[in-house]
Amino acid sequence: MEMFAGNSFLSHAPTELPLSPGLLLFLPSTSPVTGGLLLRSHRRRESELLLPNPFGAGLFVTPADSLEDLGFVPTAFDRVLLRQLGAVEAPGFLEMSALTLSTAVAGFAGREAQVLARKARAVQAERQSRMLAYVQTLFGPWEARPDVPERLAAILVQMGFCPSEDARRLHSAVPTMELLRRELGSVEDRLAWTGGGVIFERLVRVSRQVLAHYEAVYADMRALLHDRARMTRLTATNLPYAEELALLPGWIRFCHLLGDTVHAHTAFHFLSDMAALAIMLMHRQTAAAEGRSWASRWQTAAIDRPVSVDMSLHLVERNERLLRMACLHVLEEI
Amino acid sequence: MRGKIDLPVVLSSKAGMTPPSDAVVTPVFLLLHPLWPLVVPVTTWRASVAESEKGVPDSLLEPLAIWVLDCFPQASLVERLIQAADGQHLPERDAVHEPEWADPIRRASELLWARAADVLSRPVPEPVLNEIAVSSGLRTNEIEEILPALGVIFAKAEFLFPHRREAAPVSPDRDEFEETLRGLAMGGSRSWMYGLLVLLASRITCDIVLPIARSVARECGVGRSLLDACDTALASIFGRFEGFCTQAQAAIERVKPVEREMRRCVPWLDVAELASVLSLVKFANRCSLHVLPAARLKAAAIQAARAQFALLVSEDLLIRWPVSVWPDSLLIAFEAGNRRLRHLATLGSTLSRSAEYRPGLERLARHYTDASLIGLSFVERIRTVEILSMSTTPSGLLTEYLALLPPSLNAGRKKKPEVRIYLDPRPLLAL
Repeated sequence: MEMFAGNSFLSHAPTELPLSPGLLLFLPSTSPVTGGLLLRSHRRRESELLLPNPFGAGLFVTPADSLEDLGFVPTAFDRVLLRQLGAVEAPGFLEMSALTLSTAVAGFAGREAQVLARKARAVQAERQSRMLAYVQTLFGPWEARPDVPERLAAILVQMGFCPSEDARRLHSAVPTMELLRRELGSVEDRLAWTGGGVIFERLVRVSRQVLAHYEAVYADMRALLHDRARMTRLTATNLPYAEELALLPGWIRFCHLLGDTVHAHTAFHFLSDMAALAIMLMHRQTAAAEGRSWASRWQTAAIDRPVSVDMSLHLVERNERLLRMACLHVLEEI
Repeated sequence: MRGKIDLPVVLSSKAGMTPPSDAVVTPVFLLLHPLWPLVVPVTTWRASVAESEKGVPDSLLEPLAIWVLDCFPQASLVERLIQAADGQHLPERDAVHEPEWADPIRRASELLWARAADVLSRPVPEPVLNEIAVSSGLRTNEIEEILPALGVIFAKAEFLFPHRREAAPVSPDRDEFEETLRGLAMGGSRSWMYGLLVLLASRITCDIVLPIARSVARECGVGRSLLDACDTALASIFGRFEGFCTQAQAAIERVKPVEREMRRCVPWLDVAELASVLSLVKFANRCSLHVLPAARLKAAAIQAARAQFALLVSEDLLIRWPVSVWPDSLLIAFEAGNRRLRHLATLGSTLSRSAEYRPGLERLARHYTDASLIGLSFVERIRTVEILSMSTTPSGLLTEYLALLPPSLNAGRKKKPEVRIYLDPRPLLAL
């Protein structure tokens, strides 16, 4: 998309202005919440949690340490993850990914997630060392600024890029991008069983936009690696596409949720869960953001959930399953 | 296989002699248990024409099980699956390549139902028929009527028999559902009635079953017989369910909790059954149909659910859990069992009051918190208490753990300035 091709990473200001909206991070929550949680991270101001409004449109914003007022009981996994994030000055995409895995390794998301997260962490560490060797070949002597190769390598690994065995080039296949293409590209067929409707159409439209968006991000990332001039301007606090990458785990969860039809109660519940997640991920903090306000018009609260189901258990189980699928996605072989 | 027959208590009035005090289920139980909406005592079956048309006499069950399980080629596989006991004794597996855990009890049941469908699809040989007639006290022509209808039910088992742990109502594919109902209608009036009774007790709600069944009855039936069967089935299911709950309660009261090494795999009233009771009662009240039987059913279900929950909690408190590190399969089955208990408590609370269930769950949570009893790690204890607890505040264990972690995310940070907007009343006053 033109918007991203023209938008260089330098447009992300390294210093936080007093009215900076902060960075929106997707929190891979296991709490009993339909859409998911977003963490708005600020460098100096207090962080905030954004959660779907249970009464209808829009999002609720709450201080990140007032977990008792959310309208649901957060799981131990979420509480521990948020406290771990408290040790980081300004949590970003990399810190969130690393702490999610370490909290899962501690066993807060169950034994299965623990086993998978342990494997995923080992695989990522191995990929990271190869990626670092590859990234260092891209810089000339004394060109790279402090910490840039390490952080850039970590970002590339989290995006799903994988270096070859000899660390001389990147594999052309990127499992994350393939997942997005496979799921978001065929969302119309995947959701056909739900019978259409307004929410269906909006989900299809959102999926197309997001897929195009990430295609551009991934293409630009590859272009960046071959652009020596841009590479040398990178600093550790000003790496590209922080906003997009902060929401990437959310879109991966969206793709996994698309396939999780077996546990859906009805087509309408399924669509409303998908919509709640999409509303969270499409939330933008500037009123002038183009073409995004439509997402907040969905009404997903007035849904007759089956009374026989303990919804909090159901949602915790679902979110833990999605977390395990995210770990499995890391383990996908290239 | 013959020596192991232990009739499920809810199926037979005679079975009070053998209460299922043992936690291990038998192949016969898995084979026959889903048929409970059809089973009536043989005396009742003989006494009334209406009952004989819509029921299976309980005396037929034992010879039927012997005939189905005789020379069953997969008997040893079923035995091994049953020994895996709800996943507690499953072998280790690679979590990457097998992300979903199998349910051994469900798999064993499916094998048994497929076997029953296969055996009952063929005509029963003359000597076997005579033997069944002698042992069940029925005439051969009566048996020849009942067995093919049961065969049709077993053939559609995947569709008709619910997963016992699923509380959510099932929304089947309409075409597939119509096709199944047509298959039942083609099997004759008896299989149609049997199918309807089983369906009404399943997790497919009456709102889906009845309209589609009526349209299929109009399409396939001659006269009004199939259509009337829909009303008869709906009228009978409340009484059948009430009998089921009453018998379950009687059986539960006979069981004394004893110290064991593993949990009971199959409770008397599982999550799916209690959820079906709730759906039926809600349906009856909403439509003002069979309100009195529904009220009686609710009262019986409340008592049975309460007794069962109390027994399951006291049994859990007596289990000798391993004191070393737990294998994956045991921990996952343990957590699934905790979720089932929580679900049973939720359903029981919906039927009556949560105050009857909350103390039991809290007692269990306190039991698992005690470090000296079992081999759960600190984090596993936190999770166990989290699954069992209905409290909105974090448990004591979690609070202790959080105290060791870095301070909360916003500690020492600048608060967002509060902005207050006041409405200036002057322009309004000027109007």
